[in-house]
Amino acid sequence: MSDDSVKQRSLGRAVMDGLGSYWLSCLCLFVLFLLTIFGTLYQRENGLYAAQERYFNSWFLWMHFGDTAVPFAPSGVLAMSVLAVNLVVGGLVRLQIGARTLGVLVIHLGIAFLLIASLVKLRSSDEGHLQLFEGEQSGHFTSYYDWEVAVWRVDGMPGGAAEEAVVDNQFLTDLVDGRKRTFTLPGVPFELELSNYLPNCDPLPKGPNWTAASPVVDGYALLERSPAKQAEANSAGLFARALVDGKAQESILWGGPSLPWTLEAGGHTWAVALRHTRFPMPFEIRLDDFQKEDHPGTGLAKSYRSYVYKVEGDGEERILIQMNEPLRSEGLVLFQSSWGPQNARPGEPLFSGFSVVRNPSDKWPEIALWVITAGMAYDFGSKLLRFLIRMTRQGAARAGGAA
Amino acid sequence: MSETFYPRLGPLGVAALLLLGACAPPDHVEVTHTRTVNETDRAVPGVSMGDRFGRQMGPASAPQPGGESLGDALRKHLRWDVPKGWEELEAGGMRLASLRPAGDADADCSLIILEGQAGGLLGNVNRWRGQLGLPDLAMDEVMALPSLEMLGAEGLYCDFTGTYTGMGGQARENWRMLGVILANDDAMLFMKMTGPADLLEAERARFEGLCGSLRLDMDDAPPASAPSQGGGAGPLTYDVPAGWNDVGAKSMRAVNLTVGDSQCYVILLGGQAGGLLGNLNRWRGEVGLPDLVTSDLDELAKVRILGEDAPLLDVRGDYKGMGEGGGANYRLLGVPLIRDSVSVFVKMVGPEEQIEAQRAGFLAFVASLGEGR
Repeated sequence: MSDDSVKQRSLGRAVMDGLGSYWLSCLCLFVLFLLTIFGTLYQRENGLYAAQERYFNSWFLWMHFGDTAVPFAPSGVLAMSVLAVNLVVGGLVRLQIGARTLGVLVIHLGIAFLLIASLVKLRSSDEGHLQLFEGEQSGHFTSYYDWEVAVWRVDGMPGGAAEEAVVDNQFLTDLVDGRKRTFTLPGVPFELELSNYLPNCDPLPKGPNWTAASPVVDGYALLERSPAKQAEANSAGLFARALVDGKAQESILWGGPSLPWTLEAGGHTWAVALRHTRFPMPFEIRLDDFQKEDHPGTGLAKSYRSYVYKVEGDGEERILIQMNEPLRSEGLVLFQSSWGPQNARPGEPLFSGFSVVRNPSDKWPEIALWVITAGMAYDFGSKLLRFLIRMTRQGAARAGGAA
Repeated sequence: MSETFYPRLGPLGVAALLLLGACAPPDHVEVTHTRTVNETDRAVPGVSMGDRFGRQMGPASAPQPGGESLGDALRKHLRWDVPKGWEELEAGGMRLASLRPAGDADADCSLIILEGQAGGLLGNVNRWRGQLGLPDLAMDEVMALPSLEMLGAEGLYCDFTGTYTGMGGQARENWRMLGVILANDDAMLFMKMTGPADLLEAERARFEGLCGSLRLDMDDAPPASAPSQGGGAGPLTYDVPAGWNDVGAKSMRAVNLTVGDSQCYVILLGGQAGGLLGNLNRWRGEVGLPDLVTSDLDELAKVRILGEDAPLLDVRGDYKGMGEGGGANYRLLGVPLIRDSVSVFVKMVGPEEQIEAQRAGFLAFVASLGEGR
């Protein structure tokens, strides 16, 4: 064997030993411990969403130098990814695989699978909500945090339907500090230029006592607000220009309760709206009956449940959704989560609120827990079995000696 | 606003990120797909910006009860105090008021209310500038002009100097114009003063005082100058809580009560006067608290006032109000009733321990308020 191949093997072995070492496990767990502490403190001042994004849903903690962000410490995703690799490498390579260690190996793999499930959820899931009054039907759910700009032709289709071209959230949130982005949209006879993204703002008549965070259009401009602690309460804003036949038409888009911007182009009226991202569902949900029971003598809900119709094509199925009994179908999970309006008077109609999640790894944590359970059962069981056998033998030996 | 783009990359991209620094999507994006939805958002072609966002400029634009327009309501109920040393002349033509420093024929101050957009904010500012031989301003330059509070709203405050030609008169050099415009979709209010530049410099504080004295008096009688006996001599009726003093209507205050070092008063303003959220946040700002957002409104307690539910703001902090003094560890109770016709603002402020002791009295006072004549 040559010296080079020996060196390569020793280097590879050193890397694998490092990746599978107890020290790395301890380091990852210590980093996660610190992230949990600092994330909890951060949440107090900045809200849950901001804390999750900064400390757990990112690869790094970022430090700002002017407008440039530089990573300075690992964040949750990196720490958990390294921990997953550490568990796999530690289990497969460092551990002497055999009947005695099989349970520990399975536990390692189960935990690693659990971490992978959380990464898949982070990268690939869609989360939002759906609110319906009785009789209402919807084929989409709405994001809590993300935004989209939708463009459609007004009265282009009968019955309120429309063919919408949509600009995703990822193309909006970096439009700050003078950055602009132009969009060409299918079937839309103008280019749309967006800029001046604000995560939370109000459109107000421009007064001299405040600085506009957007150009002034028809006397109105966007006033920047501090991000809300509850990020779902934010109302984003944008400045929009439509280039129609070489001429620019301008307006302000706002994600709060507002009407879309309308403009004439190509002989038709077009609507442009900034709104929370809408995720289409493969079926529609119609709320048939919402039931709420209050604690006696109070307006506090004791329990509430929704009977919905899952409408798909010409067929429909009546389904009960209530606490701990979500509707799982076609990759979606609909949880009963809220009701409102909270200040409704007796007899006034109520809406039912559902949290909706599209998560490819929805069942993976459950599988991982079963795997971990099996590994622990095997490991503890085999240890117990060996203990009992040893005790039996020792007892037999003592009995034989006494005789 | 400064926000940095955080790239979302896979594990391999992390290494590239470290080497290449931040990256971002391109500046031109071609969206290639559409989606068909059974029901989209309602769009109203041609709707104004204010209607799109559910907001109006200045006082509200809704017609007043009985079909009275906002302009008519203002003409009927608007009151002001003549500055010391000034005289009020007979107002003719479009003028609701005509005033000037006593005996000074060069100076002229007028109050005019016009229905509708009346040429708009930009058009009127540039019309005034044209009278002084000044070039037009762009909209963003107009919006950058200072403001002056008038009738509870921010009026655009113009201060221009040039060669005045007025409405076809002879040219007068080094002439100055002070003007405040309060704009609304349904009416515009113009308070304007012209005269020699040095004279207007000397009279500027009185002009601003005149603007600040504008108020709505829903009682057709002249504003009371002496303390009322309480209980509703003005547009409101009310019960004075035990131990409180009714010191009488004053300036913008339709009701003016005191107890210890605390004061409680009611202000009536035309229209929505800045709206519910704006007024709540103004009060919060007076004790150094951050703004609320719309979704926070549901969490505020409600009280009944004049037959309607209104939020009760109860906040503490170091108080710094509008000319009412202030101090540390103050508490502010506020009830804004926002209406399209006349909005009602009930506010009590004072040292925290006093307000705690008088809170029940405040709530009883709010509940006792009734519409007067």
